[in-house]
Amino acid sequence: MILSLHHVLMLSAIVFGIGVYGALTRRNVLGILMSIELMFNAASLNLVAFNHFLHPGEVRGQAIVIFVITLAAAEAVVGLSLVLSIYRNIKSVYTEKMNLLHG
Amino acid sequence: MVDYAYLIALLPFAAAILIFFFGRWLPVKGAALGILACLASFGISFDLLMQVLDGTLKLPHEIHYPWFEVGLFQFEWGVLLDGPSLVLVVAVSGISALIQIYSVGYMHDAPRFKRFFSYLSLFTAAMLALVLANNYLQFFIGWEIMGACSYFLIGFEFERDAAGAAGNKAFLTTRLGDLGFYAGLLTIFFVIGTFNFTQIQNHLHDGNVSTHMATIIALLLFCGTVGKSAQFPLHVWLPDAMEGPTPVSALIHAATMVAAGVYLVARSYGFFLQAPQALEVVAWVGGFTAIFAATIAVTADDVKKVLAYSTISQLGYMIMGLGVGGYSAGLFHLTTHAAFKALLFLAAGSIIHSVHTNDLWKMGSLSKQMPATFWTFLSGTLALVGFWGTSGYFSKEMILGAAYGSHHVLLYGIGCAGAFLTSFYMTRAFSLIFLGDPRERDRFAHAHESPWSMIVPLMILAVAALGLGWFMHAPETLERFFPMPGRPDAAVPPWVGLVALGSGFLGLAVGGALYLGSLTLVGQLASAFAPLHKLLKNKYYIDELYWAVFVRPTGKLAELLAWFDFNVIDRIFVDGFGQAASLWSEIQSWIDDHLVDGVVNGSGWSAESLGAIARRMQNGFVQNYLLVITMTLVALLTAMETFVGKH
Amino acid sequence: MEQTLATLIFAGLAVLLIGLSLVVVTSRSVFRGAIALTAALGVVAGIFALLGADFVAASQLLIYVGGIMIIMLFVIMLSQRPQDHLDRQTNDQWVWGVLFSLAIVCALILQFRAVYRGVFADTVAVPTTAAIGRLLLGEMVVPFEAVSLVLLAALVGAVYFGLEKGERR
Repeated sequence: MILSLHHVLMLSAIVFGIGVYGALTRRNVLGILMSIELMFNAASLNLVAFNHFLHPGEVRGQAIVIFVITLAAAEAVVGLSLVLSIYRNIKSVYTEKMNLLHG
Repeated sequence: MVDYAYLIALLPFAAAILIFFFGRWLPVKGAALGILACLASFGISFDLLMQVLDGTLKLPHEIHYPWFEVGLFQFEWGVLLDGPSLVLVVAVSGISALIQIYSVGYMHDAPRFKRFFSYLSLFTAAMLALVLANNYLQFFIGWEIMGACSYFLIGFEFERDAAGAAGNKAFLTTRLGDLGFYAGLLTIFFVIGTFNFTQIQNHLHDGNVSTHMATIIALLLFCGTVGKSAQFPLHVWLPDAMEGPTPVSALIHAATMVAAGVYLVARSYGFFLQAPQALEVVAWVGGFTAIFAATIAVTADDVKKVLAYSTISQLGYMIMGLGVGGYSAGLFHLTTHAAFKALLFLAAGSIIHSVHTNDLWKMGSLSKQMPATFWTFLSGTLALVGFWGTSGYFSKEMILGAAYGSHHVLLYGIGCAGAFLTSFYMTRAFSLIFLGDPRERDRFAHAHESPWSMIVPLMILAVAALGLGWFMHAPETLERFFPMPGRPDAAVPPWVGLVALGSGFLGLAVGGALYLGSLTLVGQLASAFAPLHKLLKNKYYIDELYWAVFVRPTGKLAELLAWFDFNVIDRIFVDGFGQAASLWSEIQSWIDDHLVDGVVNGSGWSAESLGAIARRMQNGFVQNYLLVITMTLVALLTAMETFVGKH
Repeated sequence: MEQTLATLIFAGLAVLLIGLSLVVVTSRSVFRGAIALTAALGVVAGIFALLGADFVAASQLLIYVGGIMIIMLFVIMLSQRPQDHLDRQTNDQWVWGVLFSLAIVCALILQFRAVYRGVFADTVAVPTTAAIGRLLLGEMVVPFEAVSLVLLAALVGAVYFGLEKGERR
């Protein structure tokens, strides 16, 4: 069978779902961050797929993916430095300990 | 002067008020003011009398002082000067002045001295207002004020229970009569429409009042007389009224208040003339009372009680006189009785003041110790028994003559029997007090004559008692002052008067025989007629009868009603309301605690619970928030899909 | 023929990617997860290349794998504890997580299948770098500059958070 758009989209959907599961479920904050990275990647896949299948000859989707990657990097950097800061305070990276915002 | 006639009543009234409030600072604690006021009234009255006698003042003379209006009806104060009112006003003011002079000596160490004089003046003012009244309203006002004063004065020494009880008895018994009187007044107003005597007289002349109505009115008015003038059956208060000080007995129960009842009949004579049946009732009530009271006086042991029953008896005579058509006779006797009865009471007071007892059996042979009292008392006694030449003789003879002349032969006979008894009991009293051997040595030793302030009035009254008759008995004088309305009497044979005189003498003789010498005969008679004696001594047990039939049941009824009031009405309404109110407040408090506070607490509790539930959303777990976001996202997308549809 | 090869390569890469993602989200050791993520990112770069986005694939490898994952690994190593192996890695709401992720996946798949079924591409791979460059500095210069500002902010933020407590002012 020939590769079609919907195959790629399905793949990205699955990856996205896995990422969601991870973000909702992991106890380790770094695990959550990694799941978020997965979601980003799924979205990027989507964009490239659309670009490739629906707009051949154009590169707009890819340019957007560049942005996405950049932003993901920025976000990861800030998040990691936050995690480090939190770790310094409570000596743990587990979410159960991080409920100071609770009501 | 006649324009100032109203001062006759007003001066004593003003004196009464001034003495009551300012007596402390007035000379003789106000007595002087009272006496002065009375003397002034007497002066004015006497002057008016003189004016009438020498012709400058024509009678009847009426002065109106309008008072108030109700709708179409006018009510007024007024002065009506005619024969009866003028004579009576002179007598009342004069006697009242003498009694007040007497009281200065008699009451000199009494507590509430000034109040005594205030009441005396008030009383005099009320009587004068009544006598001078030209309408029933003023008459009634004076009547009632006198009743109140009588209550005050009888119960003057209220530290003694007997005095207070006597005052109550007097007031209540006369009140009973006043009920009828009041009903009569209402009927008069309803039927005739005015209270004014002259206008009523005109109405009666014009024949506007039916005989039936006139009878009813007359009988109702007579009820007042029965009460006030102590006729049977409302006579019971007068003997008890002797608990009051002697001047009070003299003024009220001899001269004035008791005479007001007779005066009422005289003033209302127009009604009586048109109601012959009522007149009959009057005559028989009077006659019966006359003899009835005389029988009780025979066995009385207290000098004042003797005089009291004598008063009742003589009032009976007056009323009998009026009842048989002897208008002038009745009023004449009223005037003479005022003089000699006041004299007798004051003399008795003098004796009591001296020997400090009322009991006849403790007195005796006081003639030597108290000569002035002796002679004055004698004058009074002679007048009372109708000894020839005294004023009492003339007036009593006139009454008995009128009785015979109007064909009331039985009443005439009763009158003569009464005259016999009158002489008998007065001789008895006189002998026991003044003659014979002294029964108690120590009292006899201490007895002395009374001071001049007491003796002088006695003397003045003695002169009046003896001489008044000569002034007034002439038919022209009587006609002028007590004009006879209605039919003239039939001719009276002379033996009528002689029989009357004779019965009096007979009484004197029998009394003297029994009581002048040793008293053994008296004792034997008493034991021989023991049941009769006992009956008379206990006043025919009438007081006991009234007590059992009227007073006790009323007391029981009052107790019953009080019980009812306490236990039923108070329970239901007062306690019940209280309990209902407290029950209601308990309910309210329960509502407040459980429902209202429940709402408040409930809202708090629900807020807390909701908060507790909602708090779980804010648990600080970011992943939880993320989950919620995801849920919402999914829900939204689903909703969009279903509702927006395929694109 | 090339189509079939492309499809086969894609299938293999897809399976790899899915497997690696699962490892990322389920491994007890977060370090192992990080390694798996690195590999997954490499696989994604491969898929990019397959879909004709050569510059994107390269930059993915450079930035993501060579930058982000390195930092992440550093942080993981800095914050590790000996007993981390022993605890489970899923929290209490894993049921819900499964449910909803499945829901999302199914929804998305169904939609995509419905709409984009049978869309093929028969182009030849062309180097895209120049085109992307022209685009970025031409039409999309504003987002480009904005992203650079974002990077600056992220830089400053990271430095700030990384300072010791006493040093922060």
